[in-house]
Amino acid sequence: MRDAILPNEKIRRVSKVNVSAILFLSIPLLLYFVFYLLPALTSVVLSFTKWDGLTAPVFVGFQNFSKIFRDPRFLNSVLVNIKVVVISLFTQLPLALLLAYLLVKQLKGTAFFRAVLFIPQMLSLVAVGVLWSLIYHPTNGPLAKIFEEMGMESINWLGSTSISLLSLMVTTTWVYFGFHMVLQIAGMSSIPQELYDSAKLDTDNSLEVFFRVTLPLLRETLLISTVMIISGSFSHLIGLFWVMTRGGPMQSTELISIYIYKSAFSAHQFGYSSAMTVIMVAFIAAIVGVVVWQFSKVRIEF
Amino acid sequence: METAEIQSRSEISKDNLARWVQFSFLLLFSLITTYPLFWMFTVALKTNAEQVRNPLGLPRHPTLESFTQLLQDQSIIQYTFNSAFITLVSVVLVLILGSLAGYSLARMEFKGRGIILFLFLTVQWIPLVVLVIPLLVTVQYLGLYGTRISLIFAYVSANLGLAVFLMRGFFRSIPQELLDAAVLDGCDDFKAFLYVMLPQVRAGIAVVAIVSFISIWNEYFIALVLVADKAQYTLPLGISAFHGMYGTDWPKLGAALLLATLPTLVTYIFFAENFIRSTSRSVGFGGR
Repeated sequence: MRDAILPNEKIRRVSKVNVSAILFLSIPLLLYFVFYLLPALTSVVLSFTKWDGLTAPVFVGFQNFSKIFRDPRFLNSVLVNIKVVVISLFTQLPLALLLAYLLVKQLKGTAFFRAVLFIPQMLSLVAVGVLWSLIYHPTNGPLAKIFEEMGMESINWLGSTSISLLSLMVTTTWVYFGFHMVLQIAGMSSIPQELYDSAKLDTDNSLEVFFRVTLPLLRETLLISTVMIISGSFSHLIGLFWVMTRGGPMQSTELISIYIYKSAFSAHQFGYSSAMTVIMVAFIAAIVGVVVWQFSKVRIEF
Repeated sequence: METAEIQSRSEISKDNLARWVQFSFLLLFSLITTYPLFWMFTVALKTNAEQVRNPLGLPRHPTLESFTQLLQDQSIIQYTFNSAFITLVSVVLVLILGSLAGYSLARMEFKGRGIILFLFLTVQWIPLVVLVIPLLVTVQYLGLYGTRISLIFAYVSANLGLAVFLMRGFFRSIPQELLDAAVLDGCDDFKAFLYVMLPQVRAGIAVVAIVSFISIWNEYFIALVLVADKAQYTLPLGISAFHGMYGTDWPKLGAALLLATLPTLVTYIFFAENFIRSTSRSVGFGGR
């Protein structure tokens, strides 16, 4: 019966050109191409040049890339990124899991807690950055005041090379733990109750149940959280870190993305910074690829 | 169905203790989450002198002085307007273009569909830092440097990938019979899209609208690069500028921060569940 009526699709298959699709996709694709894809490709092209933004770009082949790997400041920024990711993974994930677990077991006020703990996600990173800059202020800030009252010397949270990164990580955790918690809650909610019931037959210890039943089944959500933490350290954190420390003091908080920005807009080395962005994307792809691969190797047997 | 268990009194109180500990923990973290915001609020209500004297406590005589001072400096109104305009236009465009592209990728067949899908889905993960330099060049070349339109185009493109992904997912979940019925009634592709399919994905539209609204309203970095003229600043840029300008006038800073965060916070209070669910969905989970 359907074949008697020729829906547009059938007509289209005959003529081999889908006019509707062209109409539907042309504007989105055009915009996406000009303002997203083309710049991405241009970045790659620029990475093979030396360009100061004013005079014409000069083709220099792989020179930028070889310079990058011998650039101590770049290597430092890679180290900063690694530190950020490692610290994040070890603070955000356990915290998110803990709070998700508590929330799922909680009977009263679940919606309230979830809504409150998610609030920092609504704030612009600039606002967070400015707010926490005030909190961390070594003389006028509330923390400084608390230390003063306790008779202790004030700590320069953002201005000391040894702890400024840690201070930033505290702020970062404050911003994102609600997000990861929500993800883990979603994951936990999809674990069928039967598994818990049968586990209860084997053991009374809820800790054991958590580690042997819940955690393995949260593999996917933990993977998503991990990937987001990794990619976030390369993209989102630049706003927060820039506002709070500008990558200082002494590059102790200088992420790769911050070094790229400075090298482009302060040092006017557009070719060099483009090469760094290419390397950065390669890093992200490689790391995420490895992580996904490792996660997918773990098989769950019921 | 649990079989009735007779608990000894010590077991019951252990249960209660556990429950209390859980609750306190959640309460503790709720406080940690909200206290900085609350503090920001109290700071905005103090005078500068009082803030220096008493950084942590509540204001003795709460005053709206900082707000009036802030609003006298017209710039924050300008910034808010810029942000509102840019965000509104961008979100609308993201919805329209995202729906169009998402629909065609979901329910139409044509050559190159796979490639285009790949472009939208995978390439969106490239961090914006990578695009910033060429984006600047492109924008200058098109004569759009420093305009709000350049930001709109940039934001729409940046959010299009996710929008297409989400809308495509929603469109795919509509049963084919609906489309068949529409065709039977004589609809062409566009009419079918507009009158039949689109109303079915209201949830999808909400998700995309919420997620892109938050992301665009709060965006800082691209704006930092593309906007030079202070009159065109968005709110995040303005806050950053205030931070530099009013470094020592904390109540004014607090007031500015409040004004910047109020729109998202207020909408959040009303739509918290939706926001949370949208975020879960945008990462790939069915709404919970």
